[in-house]
Amino acid sequence: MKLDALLQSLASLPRPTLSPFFSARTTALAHARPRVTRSRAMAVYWTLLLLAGGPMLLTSWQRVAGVAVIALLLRVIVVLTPASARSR
Amino acid sequence: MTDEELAARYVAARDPADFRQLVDRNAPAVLRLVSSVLGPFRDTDAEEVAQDVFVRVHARLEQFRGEAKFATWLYRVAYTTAINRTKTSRLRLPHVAADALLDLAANDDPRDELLASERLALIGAAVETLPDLYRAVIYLHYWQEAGVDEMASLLNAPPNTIKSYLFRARQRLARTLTEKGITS
Repeated sequence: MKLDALLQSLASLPRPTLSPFFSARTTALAHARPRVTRSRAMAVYWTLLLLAGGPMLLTSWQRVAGVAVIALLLRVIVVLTPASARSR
Repeated sequence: MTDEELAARYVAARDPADFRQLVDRNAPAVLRLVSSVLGPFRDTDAEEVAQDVFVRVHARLEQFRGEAKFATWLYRVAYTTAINRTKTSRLRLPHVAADALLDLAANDDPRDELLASERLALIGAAVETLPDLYRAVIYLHYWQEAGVDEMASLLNAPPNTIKSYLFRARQRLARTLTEKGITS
């Protein structure tokens, strides 16, 4: 048997087609899901870290470092919070 | 309006009709790519993955800065999503169902029918042994009947690279089939 003949036989296999409402269904599904799902959990994580680590640093001898870390974490939270959640 | 312009307009105005138009334009190509990675007889999986691709793209659309073509970015997401699906689905099912191949070769002449089913089962099993990229190239070219230029666009590689993938995939297939005594 020749390789070409074997390969050509693949063309006889049925090819998948899209269902009639694919675009409408996909668009609806895309809009139903939050744009950035993982970021929300990350924002909670960073907030908890801020609440725990911020006061600890502020009461230590590294007060300047504590303020810098709080500012940085606040910025991280703002960046990571989903845009869709912020605008609502 | 180009896909890039449409994507930018969608990000700015969030009109679902714009996103739907992007899906309408690109879904057939995404389905071809995704089904070539998944293999035959995975129609439901292929459509699910295609849908997942657009949902992922929608979630990251704001990150698309229009530096690359929208289609290039979309096909990269489609290829990765489909590869991930093969890795999880292969744990559950054989990639190409041999029974489906045998049923498919229905023919008037029983000898032709047997020969056709045998061919499909043999080549299906041999293609399964190829690495992901080579398998996708073989299915795109011989099953989906895509030309080199279309494959180059879907896989984001120059046409000569695609030709080389095709050549190497055929070489591997020939070696596998010769070792099994199927081809000479």
